Amino acid sequence: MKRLLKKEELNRLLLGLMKEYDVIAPIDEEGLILFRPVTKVEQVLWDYPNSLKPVKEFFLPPREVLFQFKRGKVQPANLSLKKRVIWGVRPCDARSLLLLDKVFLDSTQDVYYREKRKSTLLVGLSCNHPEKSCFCTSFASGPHHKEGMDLLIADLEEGIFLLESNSPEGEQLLKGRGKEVNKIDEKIRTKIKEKTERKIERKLKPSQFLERLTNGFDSSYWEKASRQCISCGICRYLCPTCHCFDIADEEGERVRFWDGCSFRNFTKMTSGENPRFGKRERFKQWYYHKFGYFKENHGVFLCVGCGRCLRNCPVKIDFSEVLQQLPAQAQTPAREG
Amino acid sequence: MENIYLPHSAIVKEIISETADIKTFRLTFEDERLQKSFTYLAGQFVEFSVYGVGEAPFCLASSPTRPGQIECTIKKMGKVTQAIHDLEVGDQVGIRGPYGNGFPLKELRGKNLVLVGGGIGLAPLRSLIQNVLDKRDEYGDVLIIYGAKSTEELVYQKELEEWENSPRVKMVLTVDPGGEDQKWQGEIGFVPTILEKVNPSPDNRMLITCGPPIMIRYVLLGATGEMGYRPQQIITTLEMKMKCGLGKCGRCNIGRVYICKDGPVFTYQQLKDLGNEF
Amino acid sequence: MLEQLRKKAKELLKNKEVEVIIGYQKSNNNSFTTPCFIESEDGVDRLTWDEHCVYNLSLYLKEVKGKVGIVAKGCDVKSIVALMQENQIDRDRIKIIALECQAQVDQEGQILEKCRTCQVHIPGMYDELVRSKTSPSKIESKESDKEYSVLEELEAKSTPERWQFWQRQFEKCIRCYACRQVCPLCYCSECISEKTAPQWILPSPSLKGNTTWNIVRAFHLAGRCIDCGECERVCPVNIPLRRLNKKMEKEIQTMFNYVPGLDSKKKPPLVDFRVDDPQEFIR
Repeated sequence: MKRLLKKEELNRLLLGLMKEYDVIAPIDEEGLILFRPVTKVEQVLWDYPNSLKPVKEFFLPPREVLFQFKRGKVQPANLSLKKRVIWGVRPCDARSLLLLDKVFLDSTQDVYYREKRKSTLLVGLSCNHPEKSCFCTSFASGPHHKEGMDLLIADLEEGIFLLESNSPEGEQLLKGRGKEVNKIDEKIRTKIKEKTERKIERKLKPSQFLERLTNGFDSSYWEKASRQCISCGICRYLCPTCHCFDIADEEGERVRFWDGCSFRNFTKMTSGENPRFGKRERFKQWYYHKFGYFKENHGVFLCVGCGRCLRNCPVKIDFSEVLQQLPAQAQTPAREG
Repeated sequence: MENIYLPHSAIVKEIISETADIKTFRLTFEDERLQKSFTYLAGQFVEFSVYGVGEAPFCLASSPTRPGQIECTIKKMGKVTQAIHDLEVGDQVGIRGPYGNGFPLKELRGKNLVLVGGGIGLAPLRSLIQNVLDKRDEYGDVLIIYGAKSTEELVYQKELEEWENSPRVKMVLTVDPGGEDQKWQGEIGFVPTILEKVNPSPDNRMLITCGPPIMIRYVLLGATGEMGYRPQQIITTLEMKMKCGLGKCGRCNIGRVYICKDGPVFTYQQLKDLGNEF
Repeated sequence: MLEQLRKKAKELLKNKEVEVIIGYQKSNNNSFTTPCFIESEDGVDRLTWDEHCVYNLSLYLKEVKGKVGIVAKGCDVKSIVALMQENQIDRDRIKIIALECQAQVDQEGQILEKCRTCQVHIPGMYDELVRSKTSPSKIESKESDKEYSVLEELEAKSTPERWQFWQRQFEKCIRCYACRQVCPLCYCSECISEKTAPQWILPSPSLKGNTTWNIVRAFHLAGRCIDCGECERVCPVNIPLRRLNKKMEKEIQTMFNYVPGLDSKKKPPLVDFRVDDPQEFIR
């Protein structure tokens, strides 16, 4: 279903949602754009570059209690959640959840993730001002894609919004609101969409990645490409599709929390053995997991082109260029060590 | 649906001291129904929890052919294993699993076997050995080559004799040079060297090995060298840092596989196909 | 300046005085810079120098083996000195191409806070020095440009207020460890945050663990941090880490009259004992 809403009507929709659901939306929190629980329409940002943290934090939280133990009894965390809406999700982030589903909702379902997914509606906002670091169009997505959302809001500018449902729940939200969408509105929408897509200059050729990665596993290229890397966790943590975690016991609770393959102790065993000790190996693993192994196992790349890795890298590593420049032919093996 | 991260409560029934820093823990589940229904394959592993300290993966050293309890043989190494070693009979722990693929018993049936173990690496092999001995007719000759740094570090000492006296089983025990004592009657030398010396023919045989990485490496090289084993004839079980056991947490990812879910048992051929991170 | 920098770099490579030069190059979209590693004379033209050279490249000195040249600003040289004081690098294998630096700016073009009080526009130690041709008048000095003025606001707060301020800051920490990873002086082969037996610091991002982590790090840097400000620059959630370190710096200066990173022969006060050390903490 498609409907045309004015800004006031959209605000009314949001206000209505706030009464019924816990609403999470992008706000400016001391200079950081973050998705946070909101209670007032005025708090919500309308025109914003994508949030610092991806919405994965509401499904795979940075820290999550799996269960507690009290006097020898295991008490599972309360999984029931009030119905919630994440408002203003960008298409890239919405798509990332479909990729995470492949990991957490496979044959061994992760109940913590599943319950959060089940109780969350995604209301997306199309992206009219992509950043230089964005490259969603290279990964089967785009600034106006509705994949993974219940409802997509396309900003037609001048205070008019085209809303398009993408699920029965989304359709329910739209019913009886705004007015019908006519051909002219559709044309305007297409125009804006195409204009935005043209703004995304960063274009990758993913069709070549798999073969190049397969050939280049031992390439000296990785030694060079990884040199600037400082092995922090920013690109991993802020990536909407990175999902590696650690589990530990902390003060009567078993918690799971974000972890990343860039850290030297990620694969370090108690015996001291560490198959990916070197910076080059850790740097490389990220690419191989996202663009090699995940593709082989699930048929898609584990990347949505949101550009957060590029924007937030402390030493400005151009992650998409690292991929693009992967040599087509296998190179001489890298030096040992 | 089941919560995959929730361990089942189990009770420590017996603790067997194997060496100065290795103990075997015999456990039963608190829930009798679970105890009865809990099945697994030789070569699979469980996540073992000491509440308040943490969780770590250990292979099941017992055999599914001997139900009623499960056993893990654990070396004191870090935080979790220290806490496990501090356990006493009657203590409650958490177990979830079994995870992993286990040994390919179908492919082993009807074949002669050579089992090559080093140190605590005998634990998963023990599960297989018990399994084979309990279904003796299904398998061919069994050769066990087992070694440790010193005589004091050999595990399952009582059981080793029992195995040796089983039908169609040959045992070769060895200790690293300098690790022998005056009573020692076995071989002296590193496991890969002894394997080459015994030189079991690769005809209709599978070689299964587990031990420290350096030992595995030389066993693989030796066996596929002059001994003439094909990589498909060699099976090993890998160790890797794991947390979830279900292919989600990401740390045991090597090549396209997750050791916890697609392994830990691999043929040497499969390992070769994974690229050379191992 | 750039021409001279490239010339000196070329000479060093040509004369085989170094095998690699760590410097700055333009980032891919030309809008900023990124660290680079140059191994041949033809690569030298990639070197760049402007007000976007924020990185403290001494971070890489430990992992680059052999004879190495490094492009360094005054503040970066201080960390090289600090690393020498702690026997972490061998001065003989390092050639420092020092650059006179007026100030560096962030991505928004704002002059970095640390540059406003910089005392080392001309680096204190070098093998080669590239001087600026323009006169050093770029920064308009402000009343607030005193060394520790950045601390005034915090020092005016009561202890509970200060605690509250930092709790709010540490709450944001996502434990990405970019602060540690970018710090030239965070070189421990095993960080206290990685230790599990005993586990000093809770590993997950919770207020408790985050507080311990950030405070332990600040303490470990006391008397060692040379104020390159890199930790604060890279923090993705904008924790004002420089203030923590600056406060420690001030305390150390008051107690021991010592500023780190200036004299490679001097021992940092917290690894040295003297009978006349202040003893006020024992009461």
